[in-house]
Amino acid sequence: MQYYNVHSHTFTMTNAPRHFLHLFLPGFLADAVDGITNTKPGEATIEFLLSKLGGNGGKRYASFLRIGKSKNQAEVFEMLRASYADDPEIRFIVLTQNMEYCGAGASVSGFEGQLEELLNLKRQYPDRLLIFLGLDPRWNTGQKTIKETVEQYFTTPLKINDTKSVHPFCGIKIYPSMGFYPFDERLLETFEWAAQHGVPVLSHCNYLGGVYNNDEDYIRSHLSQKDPYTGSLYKGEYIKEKGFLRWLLGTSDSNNNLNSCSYFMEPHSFLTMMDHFNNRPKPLKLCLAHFGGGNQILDKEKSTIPFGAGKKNWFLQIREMLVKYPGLYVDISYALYNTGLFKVLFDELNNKDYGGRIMFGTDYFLTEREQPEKNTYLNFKKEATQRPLSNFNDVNACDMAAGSNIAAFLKSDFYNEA
Amino acid sequence: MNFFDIPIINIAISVIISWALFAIFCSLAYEAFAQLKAERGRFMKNYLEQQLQDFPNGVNWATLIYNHGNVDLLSRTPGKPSSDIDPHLFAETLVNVVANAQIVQIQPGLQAPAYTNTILADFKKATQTLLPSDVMMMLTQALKSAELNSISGDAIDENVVYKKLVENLKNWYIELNQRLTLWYKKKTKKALFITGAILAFFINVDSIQLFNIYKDSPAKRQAITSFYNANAGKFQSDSVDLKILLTKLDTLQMQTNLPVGFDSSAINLAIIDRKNEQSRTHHWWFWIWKIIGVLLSGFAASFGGPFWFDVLKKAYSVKQ
Repeated sequence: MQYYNVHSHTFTMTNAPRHFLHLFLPGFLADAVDGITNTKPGEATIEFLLSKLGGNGGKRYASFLRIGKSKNQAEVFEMLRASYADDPEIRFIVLTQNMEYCGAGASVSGFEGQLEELLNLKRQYPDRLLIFLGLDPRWNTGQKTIKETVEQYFTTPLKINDTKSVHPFCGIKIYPSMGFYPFDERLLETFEWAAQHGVPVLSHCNYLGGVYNNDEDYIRSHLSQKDPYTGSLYKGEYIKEKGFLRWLLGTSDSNNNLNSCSYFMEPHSFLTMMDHFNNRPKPLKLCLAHFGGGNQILDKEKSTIPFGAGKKNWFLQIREMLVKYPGLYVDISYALYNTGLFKVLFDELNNKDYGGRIMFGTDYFLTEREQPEKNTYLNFKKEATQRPLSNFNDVNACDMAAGSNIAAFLKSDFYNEA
Repeated sequence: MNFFDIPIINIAISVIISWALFAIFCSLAYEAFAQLKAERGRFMKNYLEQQLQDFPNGVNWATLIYNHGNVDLLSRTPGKPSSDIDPHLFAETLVNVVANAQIVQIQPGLQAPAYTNTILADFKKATQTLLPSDVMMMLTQALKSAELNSISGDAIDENVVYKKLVENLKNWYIELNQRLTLWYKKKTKKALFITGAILAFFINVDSIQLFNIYKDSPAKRQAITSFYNANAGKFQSDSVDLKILLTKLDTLQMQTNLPVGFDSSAINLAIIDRKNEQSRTHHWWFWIWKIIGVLLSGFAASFGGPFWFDVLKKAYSVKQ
């Protein structure tokens, strides 16, 4: 059985916005941290301090620092590969990210530069490295439309050597919390093209987790937008909360921005788009990554209302959507480090309506903060291989989640496992 | 009366010799630190990334050059980029990186390939199809100039175009490198001031205190000028290293008995003050003058040893 990890990252500090850390710290401190982390002891000190004092953002940055300060994406990928030494054939879906528009400045490499770097790496691992193209409706594609550019990136072969060429990309990645809705009109044409060719789309969907847009003015002016699939106005409201501690730490604005960006990525905002594609002979294959977030899975019994328009637990929202939309997939990345969630995840995998659409992924290298990648994978594999799924002819959970489910998700005009 | 026998001139010369020696010491210490951190390599990479950032096309060509095997294999360790990239290698790698970029491959060709050589053909395609930017203008200019200089009769010799293109890019890189050396010197000045002030604080190189000592002690003035006359050549050569310098400075210290070293430092004096159960030996104005003296030494160090040796050389030429 061919195994895959459907959710991993290899981007480095060079690919991240120049002022990424300025989102979480005062400018002089951010610069100091950047300078100090150029040495190994400095890096370790800052990582410790950030994880203890920096809150969610600091924690993210700390995990990012450890691996993200690597020389290039090739080095990060080598570390990922080394974590799977026991499974030398496993394939990795590496998700590229366009972070140029999240209100933290441009990256050093540029987004297209990030792609070039990874495509050069694919020349070394044409079969094991599968790349998803990061897509943002604000992407500057010059005279061409976004769809034309995406199509050219997918259809132009990547030359491996004089005798071999491969398709460079096999899927699309979107990150709505950077400040756009999945129903954005500028993406519509590309999604039509993706559905037509069976190209899978994977979207970040982790409640209050990950990178977000940190420009209050931008968020305020983009929260309410016309939904092109229905023609009506989709309403979002900026969430302004106050707290003495937040004020004292200077994180009030960033917290409010993070909370407000929930509108962009919540499962509810995907509904009209999924309705639109649901009636097609070949519906769009969309994966809501992280199953809404580990915090939402743990919180499913409680009546806590999350931020966003759906006003309902994200995990529960996604479960309902999985029943309704046969093109909808989920991955269990990031939350997977928590072995306490295995029971819920295995029960979901055994669901006869949608168990065939739940996929294994880890969210490397952001999960390194929680535990090493190797442990995340081995813990899952150990438990999942011993878990037969009664609704699927007793196939074990690992073969389903890391094998056949992902193969079905990836199958397109540009990728076929066989 | 000889000009150098005027006490104030003699004192000034002694202070300048002290500054020159201290500046060499600081330069060597900073150089050791900079080498450890691969400071020069980082500086060069940083600037190349600024110059070759192609915002309209979303690509930083310098990042891609540094990731290319040709250059990557020159790095000592990850995070310590090489500061010594051969201009020819740089130019050839740049041509290769641009020509092979997928962002160029995905562009529909405007016409039949201009060259049979694929690298050259793809490079030309890049200049024709990518969005205009400063970097693309520079690359386009380099290619056009190469083409114009390769016409012989009606035909263009592709090998000559390639050679001239590489030559043009090589020249651009050499020019940039010359500027980089100047910018790096500027940056080093700041770093030397900080290094100098810190070292001066810890080993008590207090310019004001030294001035007073030389003012009060003609013998010490005599000792340091003799030391300079005997060793000037050695200190000005490129081969001077930290170990040799420290040995020489030890000898000087024994000859002059100057209050330089940790024992005379402000930290040690403060410790002695604390241990002293009676009233404190040093008053606040003493510490103010100490800080000013230390900062002056840091400032002197920021000019670098060669500057002060040059001043001394000029002074001695007046004497002769």
